[in-house]
Amino acid sequence: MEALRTEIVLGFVVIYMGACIGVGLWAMRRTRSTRDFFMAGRNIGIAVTGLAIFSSTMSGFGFVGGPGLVYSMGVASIWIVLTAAAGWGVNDFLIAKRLRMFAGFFDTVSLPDAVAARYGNETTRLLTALAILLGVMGYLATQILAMATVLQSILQGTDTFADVGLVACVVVSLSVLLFYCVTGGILASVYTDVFQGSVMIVAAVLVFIAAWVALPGGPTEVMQTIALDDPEAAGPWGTLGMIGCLSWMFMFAVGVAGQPHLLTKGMMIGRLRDYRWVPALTVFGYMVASLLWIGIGLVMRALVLQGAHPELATADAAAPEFLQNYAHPLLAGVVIAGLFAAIMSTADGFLNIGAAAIVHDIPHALRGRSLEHELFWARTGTVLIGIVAAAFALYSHFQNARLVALLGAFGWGTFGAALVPVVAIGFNWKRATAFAANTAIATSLIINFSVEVFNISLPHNIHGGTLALLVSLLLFFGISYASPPPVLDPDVEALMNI
Amino acid sequence: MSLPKLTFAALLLTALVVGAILLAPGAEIAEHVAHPRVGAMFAGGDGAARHDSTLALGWVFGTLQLLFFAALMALGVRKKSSLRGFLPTLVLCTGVQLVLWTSIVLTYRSYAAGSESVLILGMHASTALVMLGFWPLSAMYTVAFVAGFDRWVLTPEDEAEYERLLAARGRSDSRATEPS
Repeated sequence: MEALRTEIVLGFVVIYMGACIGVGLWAMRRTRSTRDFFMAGRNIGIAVTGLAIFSSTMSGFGFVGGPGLVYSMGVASIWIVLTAAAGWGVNDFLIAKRLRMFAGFFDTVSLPDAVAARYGNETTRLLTALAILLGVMGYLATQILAMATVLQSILQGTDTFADVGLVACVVVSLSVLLFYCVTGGILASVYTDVFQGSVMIVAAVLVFIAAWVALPGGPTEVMQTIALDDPEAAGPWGTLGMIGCLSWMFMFAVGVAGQPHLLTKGMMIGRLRDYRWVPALTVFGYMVASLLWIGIGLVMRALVLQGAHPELATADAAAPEFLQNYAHPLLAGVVIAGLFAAIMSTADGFLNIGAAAIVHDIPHALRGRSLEHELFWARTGTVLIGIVAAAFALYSHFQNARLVALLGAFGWGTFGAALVPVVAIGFNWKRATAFAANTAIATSLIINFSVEVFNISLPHNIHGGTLALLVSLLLFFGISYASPPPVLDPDVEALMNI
Repeated sequence: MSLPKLTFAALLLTALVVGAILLAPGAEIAEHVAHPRVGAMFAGGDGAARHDSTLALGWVFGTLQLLFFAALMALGVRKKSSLRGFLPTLVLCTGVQLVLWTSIVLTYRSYAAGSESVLILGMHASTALVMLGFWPLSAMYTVAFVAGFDRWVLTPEDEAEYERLLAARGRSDSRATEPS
């Protein structure tokens, strides 16, 4: 079986992609309107919502970048995963019910729609849509590049496709992604998320077990090997240090409530009271999938330190090297399919909210109404965003690697800094003003861009996204308190009273 | 003090602490360094020295964050009738997190000073408290959400009021309040 490792892995990937195409075809017949395309008809159930939110949270970063972070920094990156559970608690109590009520009451098809209804201000809608679009382009480009790189590495192991290029791999993987996103819209996205989330959970559990038996002494040997080499790496903050870890905790925990792809999926649930069980599935899935992140990273660090495995060329090679050398071929196949699942489940959500921003929200903010034949343009917009992001990813890969990193920084931290004040606080606080919301979004974008463009590193490893989030929250509160109380639409006020 | 003011106050204090950390001495040794033997790997070095000026500030930063999270959750619930029932649970969950957080910092201080300690699965007590305590117990808030949903988050009265608003507006949100 070992001799057929590449073929087995490729087989799992083909089966996985075939399943995604099948779901796209199934969902196509159920997608008849813009509300179906962007909101799944606001009619999805508990398991689908819970798994969709979990699998969109755990992107390819969790399966490749996460183990790489643990490999390079020791225990530090657990402060990203541990805060997600607390962050979901904050998000669920703070915004889940209210956002779903706004979505149903105002029949919104996107997060900026709900924001415009709350503040009664088209500039706030426009800025929210622009923040989403900027973040989507960066995130999506990195996901497409990751997808193509993984596919290329698998295909190069075969005799037939040994010379396959990155461009061809971008075309193949993007085609599958676009197919099910265009045909089935968000409905295909959330149902593939269920499949993708399940694959990720199974893969994470199996890999975690495989990781701990890779060394004869199990977890004890792993942790002692790391501690003997560098006690800080095995300490609670890893090599990053206490303040860096706390800075991550603030950005990742509070930032959950500002992630548009996750909030949008929460707005799609059919029955309000069904939301009760959604966080249980989301947090359970995320915590289990995090085992892969932590397990592989720690074990590979210990193996390399012991000299039992050659030094890695890059930290991100930790997961692929582990799968290549310490996982059964069948397990490697499941995990690589899980990796594609992690990447695609995040990318499809971004494609959908990006398309909503360009065909629905921005036209609405500028012209006061949506486009004619919106469903057609939604599909066209999805293709357009996918192609532009892919071109951007390839240009960046071959010409200027810093470009994707630049917009990639418009990820979690930027969404959090731009949208947490406006959405998480603003939907719960009648005193919040549209001017404060607009200032908070604009300032957060400027700070995040400046930190990235000028390569600013803050003392004691404080993350730029943390600073941006703190400043935007302070401005939001400060400006709202300094302004006269806004006059709210009676319906908005009534909804905020519930 | 109203909940938004309490949240803003927690935020202002957090900003002050972050400001103090940014100005704290020792930033040059706080950074991790390239591992002396292995590429693509970092080393932390002397933990006591690099946290000398920030350990106490870090404890305050972490404590304020946990209080800020609690304030945000209370802001989400906020109706007096629901908040009355939710507060004891919120205080309990946050209290447990604060005790764990303080224990992590205290045990780390002795770890960084090089003192011996009981190992749990090969981990020092401070690391074990993070991995086996702080992390899994952060799901307490989710458990509270599930357990208290119909008392604190969406009561039958809330659903009835939502239906009434929809009806007054002549709107339909067909599945939102239909029976399970």
